[in-house]
Amino acid sequence: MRTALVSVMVACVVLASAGCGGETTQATRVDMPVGADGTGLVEFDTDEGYSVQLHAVDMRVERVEFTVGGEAHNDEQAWHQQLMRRVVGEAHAHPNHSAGGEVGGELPGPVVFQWRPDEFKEVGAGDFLEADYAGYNLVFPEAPVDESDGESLAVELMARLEGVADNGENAVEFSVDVDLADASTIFGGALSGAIAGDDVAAVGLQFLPFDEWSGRSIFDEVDFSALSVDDDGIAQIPEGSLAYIHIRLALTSHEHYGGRLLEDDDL
Amino acid sequence: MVALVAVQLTSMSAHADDGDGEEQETGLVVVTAEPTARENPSDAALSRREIDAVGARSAQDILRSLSGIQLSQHGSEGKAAQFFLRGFDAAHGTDLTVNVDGLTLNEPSHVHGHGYADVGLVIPEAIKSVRLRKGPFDLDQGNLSTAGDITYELGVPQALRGTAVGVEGGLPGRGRIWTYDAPVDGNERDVVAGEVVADRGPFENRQTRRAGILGQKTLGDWRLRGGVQAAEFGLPGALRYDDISAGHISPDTTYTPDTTGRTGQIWLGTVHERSDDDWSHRTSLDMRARQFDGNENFTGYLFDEEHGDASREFQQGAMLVLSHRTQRVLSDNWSGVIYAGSSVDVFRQFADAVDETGVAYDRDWGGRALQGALYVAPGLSGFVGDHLQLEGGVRLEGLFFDFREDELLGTEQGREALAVVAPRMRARVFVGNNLVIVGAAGRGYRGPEARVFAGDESAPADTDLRQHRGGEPAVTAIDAAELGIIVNPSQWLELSAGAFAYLASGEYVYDHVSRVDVDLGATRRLGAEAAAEVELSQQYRMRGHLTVVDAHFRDSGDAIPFAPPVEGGITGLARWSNGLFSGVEWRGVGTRPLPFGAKAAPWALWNAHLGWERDNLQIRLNVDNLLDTSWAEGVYHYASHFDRSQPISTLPSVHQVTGHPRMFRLQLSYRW
Repeated sequence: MRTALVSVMVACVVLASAGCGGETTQATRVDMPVGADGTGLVEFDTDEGYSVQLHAVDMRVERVEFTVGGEAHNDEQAWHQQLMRRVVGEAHAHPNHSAGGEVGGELPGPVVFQWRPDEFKEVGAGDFLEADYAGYNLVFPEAPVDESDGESLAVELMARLEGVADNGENAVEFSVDVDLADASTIFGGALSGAIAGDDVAAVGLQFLPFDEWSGRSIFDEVDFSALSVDDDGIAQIPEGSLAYIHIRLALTSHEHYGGRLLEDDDL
Repeated sequence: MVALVAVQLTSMSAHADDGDGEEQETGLVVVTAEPTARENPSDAALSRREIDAVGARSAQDILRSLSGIQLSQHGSEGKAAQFFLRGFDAAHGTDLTVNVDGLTLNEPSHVHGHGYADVGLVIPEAIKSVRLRKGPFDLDQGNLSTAGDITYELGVPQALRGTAVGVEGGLPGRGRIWTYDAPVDGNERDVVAGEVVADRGPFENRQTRRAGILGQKTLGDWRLRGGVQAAEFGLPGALRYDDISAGHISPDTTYTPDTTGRTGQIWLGTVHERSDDDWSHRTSLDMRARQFDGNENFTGYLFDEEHGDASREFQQGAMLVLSHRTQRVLSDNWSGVIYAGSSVDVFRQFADAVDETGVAYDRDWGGRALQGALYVAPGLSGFVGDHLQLEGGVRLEGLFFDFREDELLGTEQGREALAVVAPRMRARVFVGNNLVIVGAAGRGYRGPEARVFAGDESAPADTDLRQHRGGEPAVTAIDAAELGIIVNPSQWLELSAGAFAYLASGEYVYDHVSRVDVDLGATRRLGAEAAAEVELSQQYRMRGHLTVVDAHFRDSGDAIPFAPPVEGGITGLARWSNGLFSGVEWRGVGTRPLPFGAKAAPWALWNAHLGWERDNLQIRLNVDNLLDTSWAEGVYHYASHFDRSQPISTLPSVHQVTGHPRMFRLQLSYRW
């Protein structure tokens, strides 16, 4: 009896030792094209009574981070419950402390997204870990500081929007350049779906000038008819103007960014 | 019936048998415990004899020989270990409390980790026994005992009493000197011990230097106890697995050769115990002051390309703990018990961003806090008939917090009180003389850290709700149950087996690096465990255990990362009449799940020792990792950026803390 029991225990050790020969394996990576999905550039109305159609939106970003939701993310919670939840800062990685949701994919940059109506324009190759994704972040470069006066300086154009606004009486062709250099990061662009294997052909990020959920548009409180027009007949929105500030504020809100996982037929 | 009552009281006491086969006072009656007698199938205990057989490097190292628990050291001796138990990644003590004679060592709001349990104060030669209870099934288990608790009992058993001194030398460069004095005619709990350790460590920046004194003295109904300890140690961080695989870095080195830590603590306490025929009481009052100062960099230059991501964490504080237990016989079959107590912890903590030379250039966060607890836990225990023993009660605990943010950062202040009701119950069915069936259920809980209460009241616009969403500060309640058996089919064999379950509707874990209270959602852990102890003859003994657990998040079905689904171990010990003794230990951990489907390799280690003892003189050789197996003691998954010639990637990757290679230690001791 004793011999048999010891034999069993020793056999267990031998078997277990044999089973302990595996290797550490990294998460499976998927390379996936990421591009500007122009299906969001549809005609929309503003609170000033204009019907706006954007023809082109260009935006330069330092990189794009794609995020998983973490275990706490579920659809059962109302928005106000989510809002009330405490978020204090960004979690830095540390052993054992990153299980609540984190970056699982990225598009290194800098890159320029060029949204055109109903077009998909590839921007670059994204690097993804296989996972269910719940959103993305647009990261902008920090603006350099002019040491002479300590103020932020915009070193280059970050976003340009072109389109036509029509209030039924007057159609205004317009263009606006927006400096997003110190916008840092736009968190929480909406993107939902699993990226694994060959099921997805590309990731399309959408610019959504009108947010269905809030009913707000990116040109709310902008009176296009009051804008000055340049020599080419294009209305300009000068930096520092009230309209510019409204547009810049809206541009840095996650509610104007969506996304889709595209199949071959979508491209 | 007296014997049965004794069993009852023993099972409800915080101080159970020492597992050493020697007489022990329970406060009411004296019982004699068999060497391997256990109250519950899931319990694990080591007597002093078994502790000595382990030949551990430290009090923390002893815990590796308890069945069902795994430890990972991602710093060096001196830093608290990371604990894994029953599908819990208990971090540095988030879900597991560690006690010395009833004093909890966990710091509920430590700067480095929720429930940080530094056992550096404990000296192996001053321990009479160590016991692991799994599950929150006993009334004396408080905050942070969600997965279980560990108790070191101070003292020296009669057979080893006297004065002893020992010296240990090891490769690649270790020296340890220890001594204890335990008067032969004194109480078994009385001991004064000291140790000095200097160790270069197996790898770069894994060195440690530490020293301590620990003691206890009985004076009538009173006991005085206390200790002082200091440590200085390397904090090497972790290595990227892809760098190791590609040969870019050796697994025995570090990215951060200069990051170190220091700790120090002082403990002073007293215990008063009295009993008569119908009642007993035990009251203890302890003060423990401690300091932690550590500089670590796990992520390289990911967040700050110029200075690097090194962070200096500092904590200084003092804790006052009062605890009381009264037991009373109510009738022939029933007895009652009340646990009550409180604790107050006052501390200052901060985390500074530091550059490569350790100079601080920014304060990430910091503050001062007062945190406390107040509890009462009444219970009953008794027999229904001759074969069914029942015990149960409810623990009511209030936790209060007052946190004030560092004046350098702002003026945020948070004050809050939380309460928890935790019922606990257990039933034992005695079938004949050789079989006990034990079922238990209970609620464990984990209070939040103090600093979470100084956070914003609501999420600012356009913050990352998806990536790292916080949660309202709350007590995490985890309901648990287990069912098991202990069988003694003969004098030479004890078998135990059981199944367990833990259910949490929502686990909140405080991410101490980011100050984010992370809601991890609902979890479940289902598992089984078995253990066997065989006395083959007077010379040979074997024991082994195996734990299998399925731990998942309930919403996603994803595995709970880092916690091992399978772990086990077998130990064989031999002792011959000519004074020779030897032992061999095997420990193994199965493949562990990591986030995003990554997996940590399984590992299995052999340790062995050979020694000779005669006339109180002992000499022994320990070989740790006998087969020089390559293994990763800690495996983690996060983003980092150490190679500054490469572009930054925010994608998480596997990192590892390399396990030690084969190491030799020669020990010599003499007792008189």
